[in-house]
Amino acid sequence: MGANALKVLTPEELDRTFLKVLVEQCESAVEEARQCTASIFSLTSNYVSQPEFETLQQFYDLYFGGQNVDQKKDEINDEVDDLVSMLQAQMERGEELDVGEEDEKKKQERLSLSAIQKKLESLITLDGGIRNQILPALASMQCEDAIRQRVEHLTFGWQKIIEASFGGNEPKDWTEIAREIAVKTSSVEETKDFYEKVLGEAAPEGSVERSTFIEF
Amino acid sequence: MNQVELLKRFRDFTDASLIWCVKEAELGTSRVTGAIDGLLKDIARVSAMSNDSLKALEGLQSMLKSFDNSNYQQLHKSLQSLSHEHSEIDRYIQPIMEALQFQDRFRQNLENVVRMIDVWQEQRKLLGKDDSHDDQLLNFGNALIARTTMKRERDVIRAHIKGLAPEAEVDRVNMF
Repeated sequence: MGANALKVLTPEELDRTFLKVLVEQCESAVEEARQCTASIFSLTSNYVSQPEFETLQQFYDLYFGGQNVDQKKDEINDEVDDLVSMLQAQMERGEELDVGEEDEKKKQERLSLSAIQKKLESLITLDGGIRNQILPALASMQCEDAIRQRVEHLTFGWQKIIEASFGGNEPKDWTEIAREIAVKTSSVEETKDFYEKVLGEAAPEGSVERSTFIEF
Repeated sequence: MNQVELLKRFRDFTDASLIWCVKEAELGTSRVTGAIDGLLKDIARVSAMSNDSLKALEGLQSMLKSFDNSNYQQLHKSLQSLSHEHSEIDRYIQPIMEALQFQDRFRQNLENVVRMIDVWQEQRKLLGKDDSHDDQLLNFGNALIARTTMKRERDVIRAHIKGLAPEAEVDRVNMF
């Protein structure tokens, strides 16, 4: 439901209305980026064989299907660490080793993620020809990912600034708000830009590392 | 730092960040030429193509390599005529046209977002100072609409600011 047209506009109405417009414009832009990747995938499907294309498509669906791959990988690694600790403790106590029953859903997630990554990595590393064929699609996917992140960070930032104005506790020093936004930045370039342009200082060392979803 | 300073600085950061996104998306053209490279190296597929289609495909690749963002319209026309003349390669041309179209819309969308942020910040400064009897929200909506180039952007604004004039019958001419 949109705001009603009023004769006199309060700052809060203005800011909140604009925030809604801004967020939706950004969502539209991300949708254009997604469709651009879909077109490159469609072009790729014309010359990549069916099994390889399916692997690529599965990887895309998995990657943008909800949580990102890094998050899923971290969850799986944590679970494996827990499992190893549990087995070590059992060994130390001289007990028979028992891993218990793994949650079926988590097991499927673990298996599907590792299987698809393995397939994709083998395509990229073992077959130079296929690597070149799927590279445009992978590059497009990586670009979409980077764009999504950047745009999400911007809408988060604007939301934070606008919410801080009207929460009843307007900050005395807005630098704190800027620092909360800074935590969201992820790529080297983005973090460096944010610190220089917004905080007027160099980005702290070690805060500028962003993982890429796949090396190619 | 006070609020006004943060608004100004974050606006500049937004501008830089969105310019970065647009440049990243523009690399899409090189991804398309990369895809055509892959296609031309597919011996089985290429050998099944007529000479005419193969030449057209090679022509398309050199067209994309020499393309810059100022001649989108020309490229689009060339792609359309290629598509009509060579039905055999039409299925390659269509996704290319779509990819370039989305890329161009993406660029317009982000460039206009920065313009809209400027309109909003300008309006913030005017609040309280404007003693005219005009409807401020409608004025603001119209000012935002003036910064758009696509119907979809205007639809978003109309959805949040009621009372704005509907889209004129004749839409603006978009490149794609």
